[in-house]
Amino acid sequence: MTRVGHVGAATPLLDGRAKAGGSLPYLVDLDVPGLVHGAVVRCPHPHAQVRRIDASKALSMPGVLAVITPDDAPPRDIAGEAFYDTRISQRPVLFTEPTWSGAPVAAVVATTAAVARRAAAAVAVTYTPLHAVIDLPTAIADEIHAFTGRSNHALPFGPVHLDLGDTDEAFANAAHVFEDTFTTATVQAAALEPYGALVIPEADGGLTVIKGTPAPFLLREQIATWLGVDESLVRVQCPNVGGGFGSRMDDLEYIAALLARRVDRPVRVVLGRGEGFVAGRVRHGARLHIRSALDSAGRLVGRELTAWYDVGGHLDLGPYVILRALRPLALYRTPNIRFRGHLLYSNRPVSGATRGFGNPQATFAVESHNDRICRALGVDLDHFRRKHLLRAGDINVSLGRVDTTTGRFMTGKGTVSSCEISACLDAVAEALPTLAEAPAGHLRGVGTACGMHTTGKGRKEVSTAAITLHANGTVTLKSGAPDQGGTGVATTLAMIAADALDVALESITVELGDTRDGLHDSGAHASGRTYVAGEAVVRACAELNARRESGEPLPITVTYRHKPSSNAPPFAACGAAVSIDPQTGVTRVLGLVVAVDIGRVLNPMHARGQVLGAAVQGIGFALYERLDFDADGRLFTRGLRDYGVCRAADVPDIDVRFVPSHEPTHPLGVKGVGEIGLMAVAPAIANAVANATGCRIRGLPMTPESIWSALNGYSHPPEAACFRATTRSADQKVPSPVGSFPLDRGAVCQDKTPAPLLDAPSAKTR
Amino acid sequence: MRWTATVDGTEVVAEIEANATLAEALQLAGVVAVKIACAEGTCGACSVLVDGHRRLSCVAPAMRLLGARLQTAASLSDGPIAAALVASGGLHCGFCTPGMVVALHDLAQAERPPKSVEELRQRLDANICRCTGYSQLLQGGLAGIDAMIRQKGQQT
Repeated sequence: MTRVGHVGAATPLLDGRAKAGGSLPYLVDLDVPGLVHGAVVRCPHPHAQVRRIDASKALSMPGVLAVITPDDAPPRDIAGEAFYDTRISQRPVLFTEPTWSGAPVAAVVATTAAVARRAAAAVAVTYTPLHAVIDLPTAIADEIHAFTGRSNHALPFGPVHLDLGDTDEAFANAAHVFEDTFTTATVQAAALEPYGALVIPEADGGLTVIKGTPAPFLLREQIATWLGVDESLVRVQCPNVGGGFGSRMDDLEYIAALLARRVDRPVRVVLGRGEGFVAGRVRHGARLHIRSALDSAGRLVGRELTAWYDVGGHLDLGPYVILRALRPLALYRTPNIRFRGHLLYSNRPVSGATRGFGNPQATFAVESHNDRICRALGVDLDHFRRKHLLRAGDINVSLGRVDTTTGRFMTGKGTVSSCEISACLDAVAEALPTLAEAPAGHLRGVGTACGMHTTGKGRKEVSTAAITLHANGTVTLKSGAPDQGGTGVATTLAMIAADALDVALESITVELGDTRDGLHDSGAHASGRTYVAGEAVVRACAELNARRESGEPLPITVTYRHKPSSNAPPFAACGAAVSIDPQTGVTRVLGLVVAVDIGRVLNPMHARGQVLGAAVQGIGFALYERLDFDADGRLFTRGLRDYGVCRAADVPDIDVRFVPSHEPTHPLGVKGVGEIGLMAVAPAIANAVANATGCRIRGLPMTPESIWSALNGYSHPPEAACFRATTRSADQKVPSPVGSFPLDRGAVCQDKTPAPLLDAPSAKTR
Repeated sequence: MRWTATVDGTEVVAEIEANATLAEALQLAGVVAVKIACAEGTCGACSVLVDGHRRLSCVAPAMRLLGARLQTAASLSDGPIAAALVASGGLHCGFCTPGMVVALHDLAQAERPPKSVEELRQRLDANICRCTGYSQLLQGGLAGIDAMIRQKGQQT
């Protein structure tokens, strides 16, 4: 059957040559007859009321076709979404009360992009600035949120939460209790292709939306609901995408749709880079407070994680994102677990899906904390890990159901079907001594960390494949799954089909991510497309083979809709070596090893590339990346120049190792690879910094100033990652922020001196 | 105003504004092998060859290059560098790749081309890739540069 044998062999991307020669068209390259261009007017204030919009000057400019304002923009009804702020049932497309600096308030359409941009700048908007919360510490401290007028919690019932066992009891009887507070900065995926959307009005009153969305079918449903039309009138097409990483769910298509309907012509909106930072989705900035209870034998008996995630100007996927903070808790077998996940509004850019989806922040906290515990107790970290790490057959407590009316998360009975984290640790231990030495006079340190993620969203997933074997032996493979740029879904699915149908890879034409054919797919997220869409292809090919063998004449088309019953977690261990210049605090990653358990490796070349790319984003998260805001809450990260995307010279040659593994819940034995490579990188680097300096840096990114300050005995508060300032209008009475947050402990703890070890912990817990 | 240039041997025309950048002009002229990602000369995605030397077209004024002869990745797509990048897995989403191909071509033509992955890592400093994590890109890039130098050696 397997004459060709692509699966398991290093296979270059099918569209590689077209990409290298630049002939592959992206959104900005698409040529549509009658195309005109949109630009967005954005509020400069973090929170304001729009008083007046004067578009007369813009409208008088040659080439300007129309200007739309909030009056022309019906809001989206979001009450149908499963898990949201029930106090806010509608989300504006254009805001009359913008809630972050960069919120869209009006839009312009013109014959050229340059004219549209100039006209957008000429739209005169009068604002009344309102009280704004522009950092997470203030959001945590403020009782009343400025724009809900009620609690600043984005969910009316407060935190999403999980209680397993009796955590109070565990802490009361513990021999050792440790606690730490960590923070992570607001960062952005900063995909290289600018954010954008193209909308074509159709003669039947419908729309074609061309947009690098990870979930075309979800977007089709949302747009149809918004317009009040049947889904069949909306077509969503995912074009070639210049990097997704989850961050393209930016709502630009709604603005483009309004413009397109207004002028009855196709409209493309493409954002500039600085605009993309405030309009695209960002990774939730976070504060994480973690406590651990250990018995006298050093066994973990209880753990409590309280997370505060900054959702920004409105809530987008936050409840799901923060639940991923459970993964690193679930990775260590702990009888008593308490989790509180607070989602807080702020007047910052909207947080949403970003590679890792809420997990990297918590993994940084948990893995840094584990390292700290072991240093303080003088026990071997590797031994501690192996004693507690999840094994195949264990219940994965991060799997379960959340009650969307109370926020209560109930762990299900889902077990871990395959787990080779121990082999990952072995691989890291083997590679660690090979990592480079530091230059003379620099401090060198090594650190390790572990991580666990997910492969798709389990029963919420669906993917449909339609495969046609033509009489001439060629194959057309259609799937509703989109290719988010570099993920290589098209190549992977073609490899699977080539082997299953016993045809050459070159004879397969792949068409992805178009709702026209109704091949329903839940979207390219959660590292799930190979696992979910791949199985749909496997099943479709099996049926096609059966029909071919029964003598049915060609062409044969088989459509198979697959719903997975589980989501197998991939695992990773990471080892890092860093060198620190003690004079400046400048830190470099000397070497990095990432060992992953991703089940069977379908395409070693591309899987390695996924892990490498994720690991380098992890290095950025650890050391370089941060969106910076001024004291007025405006972003002053205006372009890639101001933002710490790693260049080649910033990163070492990374050692990627695949441990032998086979996932039993999948016919090909695969698990997800897209995100897991990122998970353990930042904490491994943080632990290496602690090893090198004896100082624990608790805030990401670990900037030269934070490391220098720690080395020189200055306390560097974790909040340094975000400016602590508020702006408010003179006439507004708001509760003043609490002076210091009760959970703020010493931000930098000298690990050389005994760590605060609370022998008789109080039972006070949140 | 009317702008013309010769791109990869073909005459192109665009109606541009006086202050348009070369990248914008090329985009208006329908040249797809030049990508605008940062629009401030930071990321290298817009790299083109002008008289054989790499220029960042997103910060070059188009009217200064009126009638210029330009080369983009499109004319290098059959070359050894593009082939090596594909074969090494040195590209993912492909948005930075045309600029990478141009930059690598420029380095291969340099008086002293990079001899090792580590040297290339330091010298590929004007280009950003957000997907690959660089390792495979650098390996492929070096292999491509070597192949190009060999090819040239055979020709002379």
